[in-house]
Amino acid sequence: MDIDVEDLSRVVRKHIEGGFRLACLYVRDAGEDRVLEAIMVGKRIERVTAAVDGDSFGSLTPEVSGASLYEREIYETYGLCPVGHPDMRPLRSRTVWGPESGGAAIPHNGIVGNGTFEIPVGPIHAGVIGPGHFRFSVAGEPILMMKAYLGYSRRGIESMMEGAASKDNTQLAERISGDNAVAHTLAYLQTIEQDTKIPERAEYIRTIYAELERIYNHFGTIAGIALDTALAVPAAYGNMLREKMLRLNENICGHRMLWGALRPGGVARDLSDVALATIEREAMKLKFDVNGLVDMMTRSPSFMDRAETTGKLSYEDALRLGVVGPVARASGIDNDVRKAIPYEAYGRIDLKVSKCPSGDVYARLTVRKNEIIESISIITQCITRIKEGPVHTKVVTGDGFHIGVVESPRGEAIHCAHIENGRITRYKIRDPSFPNWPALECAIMGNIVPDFPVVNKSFDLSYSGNDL
Amino acid sequence: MTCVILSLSQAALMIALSPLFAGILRKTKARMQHRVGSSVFQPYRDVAKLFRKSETVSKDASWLFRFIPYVCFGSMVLLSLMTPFVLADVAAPYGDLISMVYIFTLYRFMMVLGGLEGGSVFGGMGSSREMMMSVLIEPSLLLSLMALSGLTGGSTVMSDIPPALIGMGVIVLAPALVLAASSFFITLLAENARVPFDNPSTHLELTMVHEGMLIEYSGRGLGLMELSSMMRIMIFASMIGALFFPWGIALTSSPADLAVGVASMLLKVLMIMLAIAAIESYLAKYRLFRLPNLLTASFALSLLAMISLYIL
Repeated sequence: MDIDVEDLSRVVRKHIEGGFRLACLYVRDAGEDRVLEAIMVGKRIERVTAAVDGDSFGSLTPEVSGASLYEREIYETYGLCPVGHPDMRPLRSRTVWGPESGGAAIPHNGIVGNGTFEIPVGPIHAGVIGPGHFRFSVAGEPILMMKAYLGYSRRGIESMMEGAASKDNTQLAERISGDNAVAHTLAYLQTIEQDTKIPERAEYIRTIYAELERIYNHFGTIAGIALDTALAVPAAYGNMLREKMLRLNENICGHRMLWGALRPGGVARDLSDVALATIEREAMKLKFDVNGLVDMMTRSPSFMDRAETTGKLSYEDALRLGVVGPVARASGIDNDVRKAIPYEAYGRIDLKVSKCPSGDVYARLTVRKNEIIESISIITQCITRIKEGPVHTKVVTGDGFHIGVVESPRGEAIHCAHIENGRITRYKIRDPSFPNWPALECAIMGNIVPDFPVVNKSFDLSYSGNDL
Repeated sequence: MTCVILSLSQAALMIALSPLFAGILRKTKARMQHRVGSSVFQPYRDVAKLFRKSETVSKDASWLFRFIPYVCFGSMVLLSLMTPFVLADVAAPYGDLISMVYIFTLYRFMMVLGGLEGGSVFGGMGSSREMMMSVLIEPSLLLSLMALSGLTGGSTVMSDIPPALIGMGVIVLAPALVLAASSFFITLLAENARVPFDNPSTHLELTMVHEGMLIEYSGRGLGLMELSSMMRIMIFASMIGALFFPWGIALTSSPADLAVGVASMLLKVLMIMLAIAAIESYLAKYRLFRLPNLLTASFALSLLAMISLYIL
């Protein structure tokens, strides 16, 4: 839908009232003009475009909170000013050392008073995690406000994806967020395969890969939650199960994180009957393991005391911020791309969306546990239904706007490609972590400082996916 | 003269063995997590490595910062001279329970100052949390030791307690002793920054208590602090072994008694370390504001021990 830029706010709001969610907002150059593109996702995908005159447009943020980050990004990368935006801190370009080293200085949170302090943490952390700078305003232990400053792992992947549409960019897509490689690659492939019919066998294999990826990611998160509450034995058990999955991945496709498993038009390699049987056998065993692991945690009263009511994200806040993925489902939002807009083989199999209303660390743990069980069911369904056939085909990419929406282990990943004369002129990636980071800022308020690591882990956000 | 030599040598044994028991504790935890774990001698190597390294001191720190590790280490050496380990009769009559509690407090106070000295946020957070806990630990630690001395006739000199307890026979497995020992065990976990009070294996900046206070230390200073904290848990464990359950301790300095004393003490410390490892494997770290409840429980236990002295 092409509209006037003055109407953008009204149209977006109307869509939101009709059950849509602002999933992405970005700018693209169209000749001399610059065009605002708003992607709304609900039961289907709606695209709203509006050409911008001059260097500014009316901000959506005062009415649609979820637009805030996208508008800051637009200002930073395209210089278009969202007039009326309440929070114009730079999004990615910065340094903690101040303006003399070339980036914008990080401002004080602005909370002052007797006994309040501001704690700077990062961007280098005491663990193997991504770089991010956090500012906590605290009064004693309770956190009054937390602000995350990211962007340290920015690589400019979006512009690297531009160029000939026939070029195979799967290697690049795998590196957007390494542990969500299959999901991002699938989203990328959707954009270039929109006019191609993928063989059924390849679709099933892709679905199996996507679910294997989900399982190992969720095990990693569950183990991390256990570790951050100092529950050492379940943490070791969870990491062991994750390692088991990684070895299974290596066994069937040659790479522990499933890199290089997909290719345009299908999959890189067919799965033999032996491989399928191995996957099925391992998956069935896993069902008992995941229940055992989570029971081991939830049977410990000291763990439950840490997990329940900690890091609560309310349904209203989650909806307002446009949160996606397991985090949204743990706050009671029924949002799963696999169910809403089925891709690959998801349309042909039964799938139950796991949901939990309470929005705390425990809810996010429960949702992840249920998703592992659901993934096992999806894998077994795929293995039962898969038939002999080719596993790849030739890809024909037409011109125009193409979108790929995939449910990654962290939530909805969106790739938008604008193709003109066989060349990608604008490529937009929206990692699920991008809209979820502000939700972490929101959920942590009122919690105590020592609970931040476990809340952060339960959100399981990607730094590289956010920074691109 | 023999007494002095024996006192010195048992203190030396205690200091020499403390990294080994720290290693055993780590190894047990690792085995419980299905990990191989590092060798039980690793803490010796760690400390030796730290002593060889150069030190980096924050520009905001004063002379106190460099001074603190020596005070901490010195207070632990003093305590190991005071505590009965193999032999009950040590450097008496200086081994007094009350002075012991306050040497522990001196150690903690110095460590808190060290955490603040560096001027870093995490040191400050660690120090503030440690002070909060310290206020709660001290009364229950004192009260449990008072209950013990009340049970054995009112002397607070440590070398008087084991003979008195052994002299009382099996009857001393009275509620007062068991209650005071349980209370003391909880304070052991709290004092030594173990789960559920603190996570000794974490380096997550935001949750640290003990590690937070050490964060600015490096090289020799860190080595001394690490060694002191290994000695501290050893002293606590041998206090349980020598004061609360002294059976097996050498009352005379005859070689046979000393041999039994060494064997029984090593066994007792080993059992306490295994118990700590088991607790660390099965408990999550408590929410910070939940810790006062646990320490109050410890206080209530020692209060009950006190009361049971008078009504039973």
